[in-house]
Amino acid sequence: MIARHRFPRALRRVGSVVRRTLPRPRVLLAVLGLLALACLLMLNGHMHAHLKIDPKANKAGAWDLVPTSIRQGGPVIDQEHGKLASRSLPPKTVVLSFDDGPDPSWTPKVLEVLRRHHVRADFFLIGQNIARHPSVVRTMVDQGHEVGVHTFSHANLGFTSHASIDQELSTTQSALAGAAGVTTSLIRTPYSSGPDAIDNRSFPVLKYLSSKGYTTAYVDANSNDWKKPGVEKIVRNATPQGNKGALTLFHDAGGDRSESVKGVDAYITHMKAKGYRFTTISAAMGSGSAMHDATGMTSWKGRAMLTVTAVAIWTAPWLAYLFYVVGGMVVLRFVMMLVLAGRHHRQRNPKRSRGEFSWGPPVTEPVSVLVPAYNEKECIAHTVRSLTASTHPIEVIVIDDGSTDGTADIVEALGLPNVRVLRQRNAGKSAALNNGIVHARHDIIVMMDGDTVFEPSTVSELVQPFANAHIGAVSGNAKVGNRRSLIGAWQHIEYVMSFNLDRRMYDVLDCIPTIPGAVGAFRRRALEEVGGMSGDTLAEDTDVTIAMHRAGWRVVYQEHAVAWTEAPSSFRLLWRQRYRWSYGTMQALWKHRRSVVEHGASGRFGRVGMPLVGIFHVGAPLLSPVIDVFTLYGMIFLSPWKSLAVWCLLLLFQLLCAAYAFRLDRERYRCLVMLPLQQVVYRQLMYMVLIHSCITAATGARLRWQKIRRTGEVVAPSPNSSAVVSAGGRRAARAATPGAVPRSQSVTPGHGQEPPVAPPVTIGRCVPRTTPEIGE
Amino acid sequence: MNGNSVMNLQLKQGDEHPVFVASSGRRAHLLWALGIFVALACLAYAVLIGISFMGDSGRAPDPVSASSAAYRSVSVP
Repeated sequence: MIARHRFPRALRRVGSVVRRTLPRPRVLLAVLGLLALACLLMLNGHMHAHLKIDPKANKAGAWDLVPTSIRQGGPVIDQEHGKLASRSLPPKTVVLSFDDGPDPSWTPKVLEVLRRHHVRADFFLIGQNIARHPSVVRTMVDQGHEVGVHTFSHANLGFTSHASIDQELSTTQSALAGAAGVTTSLIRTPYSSGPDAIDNRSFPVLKYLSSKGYTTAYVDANSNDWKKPGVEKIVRNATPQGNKGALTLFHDAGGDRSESVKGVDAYITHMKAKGYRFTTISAAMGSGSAMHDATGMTSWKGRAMLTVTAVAIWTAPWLAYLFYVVGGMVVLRFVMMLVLAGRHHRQRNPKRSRGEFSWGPPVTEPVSVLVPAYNEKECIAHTVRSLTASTHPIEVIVIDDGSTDGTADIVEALGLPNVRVLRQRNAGKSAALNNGIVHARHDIIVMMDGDTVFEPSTVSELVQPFANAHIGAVSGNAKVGNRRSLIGAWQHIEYVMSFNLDRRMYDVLDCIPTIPGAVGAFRRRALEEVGGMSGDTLAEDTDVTIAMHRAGWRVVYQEHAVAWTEAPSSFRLLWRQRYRWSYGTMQALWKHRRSVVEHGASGRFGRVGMPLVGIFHVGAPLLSPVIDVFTLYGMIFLSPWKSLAVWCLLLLFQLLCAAYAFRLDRERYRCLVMLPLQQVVYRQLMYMVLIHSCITAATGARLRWQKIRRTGEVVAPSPNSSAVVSAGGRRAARAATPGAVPRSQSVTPGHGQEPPVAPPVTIGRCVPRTTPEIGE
Repeated sequence: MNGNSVMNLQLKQGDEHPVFVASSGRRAHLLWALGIFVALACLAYAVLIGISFMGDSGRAPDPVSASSAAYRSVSVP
């Protein structure tokens, strides 16, 4: 996101209703949506799982427990009166059987060959393929072919529990019932061949299936078509000796089956010429049909399965496209950042540009520094003192926006020259800033936050660009002061990487969307032209910056004007801050949407800046979880190492960008250790924040806004050190306010005359007001 | 200080239109209904998946009874 100021935003005309009356459907929606997505992806993964060739399957085991009569018997085995019975086909009879289908391209071709020869055959179908291609099965059954179960997922039943076998059978029957309205008592177990290959491991499966009423069909003439040996060889493989009957095996799925199709065609012609007849298993056995009309639960389950599968099949490609779109956005952003930030660095660095670059004659005129403050007693003294060390002539105006903690008194008690305090009733940050603008004496106005600390050179660096008369506003370089904690370090990485690289990139494209509230400077005339700060959005800084662009002013980034700011110190506060930023950014984009079709400077920003901000700061983070979802999906269902490698590549790219950003900002690389975890956590945080913002925007709800809890640990930096966190800062701040518990802040009421919209909300850890806070 | 600019800035203050905010609440109610609908659809989908993969005994409907005695038939215990 775009770095900016954190300030309690007073609510306007809160009016009668605070929309807390509605239940929270977004939580329900989020939970159920995630559940559905997870189900959908798992289903999709399950359905598309490639037929795994089980290496254990083809190793022949011992067969001493298998009755010789079975091993030497015919290929059709079932249970009759509690005993296994095996049968052979009558002489001069062939049953064609096809395994692993249905396949949307090859099965119809096989069916066409069979139709031409007026031959019926047996198809042993895989449940997941039935669910994916139900219409093929329907055609098959309509044309009079017989179908059998080949399990749901081509499982090796010899290594499967009875419960799993039941699951394989029942789901396949359901799929069949859904697709063609039938169930079947025929089965062929995957990896089986002739009855002579039944071993000690597969025999119990045979017995179990038979006990469940199944007729198991083995093979006595294997065409071995899957080896693609050529049509002639296929015919020879499948031809039985003499006049013997044969149950033959072909495949109508699992790869290129063009040879199988031709082979079947030639085989039928060949066998018919030899006087053979073609039939189905149940007809050859002289029994009734193996297929029965599906009824009741099985039928309903089948319909449900086909529906959910159809939805999954329809949705999955969209998710995949989304993944490519997000990936593309992320990569585009990185590339743009690296290339443009590099160019910015070369252009603006006097050494690199061989002294060619300069803003113009030095700006030495005095400037006004506005410090809007609302309950900033922990930080305000640091802030104001840091200003008195400024090397540039300044007047400081602290605008106290109706603080209740004596912020204004603290400033007045400092008794510093050139520091004025304006007190106003609580009216919000924009009103405070406008108040300050009205009272400012100078033509250049610097704005900072009450929790921010300037270096002595910050103001003078910040105002140098105003030597160029076209420049209306300048953004400084905000850095995180409290970077010792994990969350502080993460934000430090983010500030250096995203915000500063972003700002350099946008500067080169002349469309910086936000001047951070922590450190920015404006030409008074430009501010007046756009009507000052507006309270229309929660991101008045983005709003005013875009307004400047639209009014034709140039906005630039001055990376040498460094300000140290206090970043939120807990996830709750971070969430709240980011929520306000992202919602405010969306508001500002929407407010200025007309710029997209306008002419001149406004249109230029509308067509360059708006799409970039929309894509990089709303679209990409909103969709970014797709990256993690797909990685997870890929790791489970596709190739775990490949998926992980792609994910790591993305991380590496981020690391590269971050390292470059750290080099440009001369920061220590040590912090980058935190980057991988930071990226993962931030991605989740940002998309949740954005979804939340989108819903809030869509519903049109009013936001109550709360103040961020301050600890006052950021102090003025010493000139030769970049570490600005005072170890004792926090303790000192507490010691200065004995007995009080300052961290609990309340909702800011609008305009002062309206009642608070809700009872004071305690932020951070809830500390009872009477209990002294204990060190963290 | 310029009197006009003061006027402008103060005028601006009273003339705010918070972006996205809808005071009628109709949009919120519509979205609430839509949200509930989508949530229920998601729930229905998850339930359907549950139903369709609910296992049962997986028994065959009716075994093929080979009545023809013309073929070799072997029984084993």
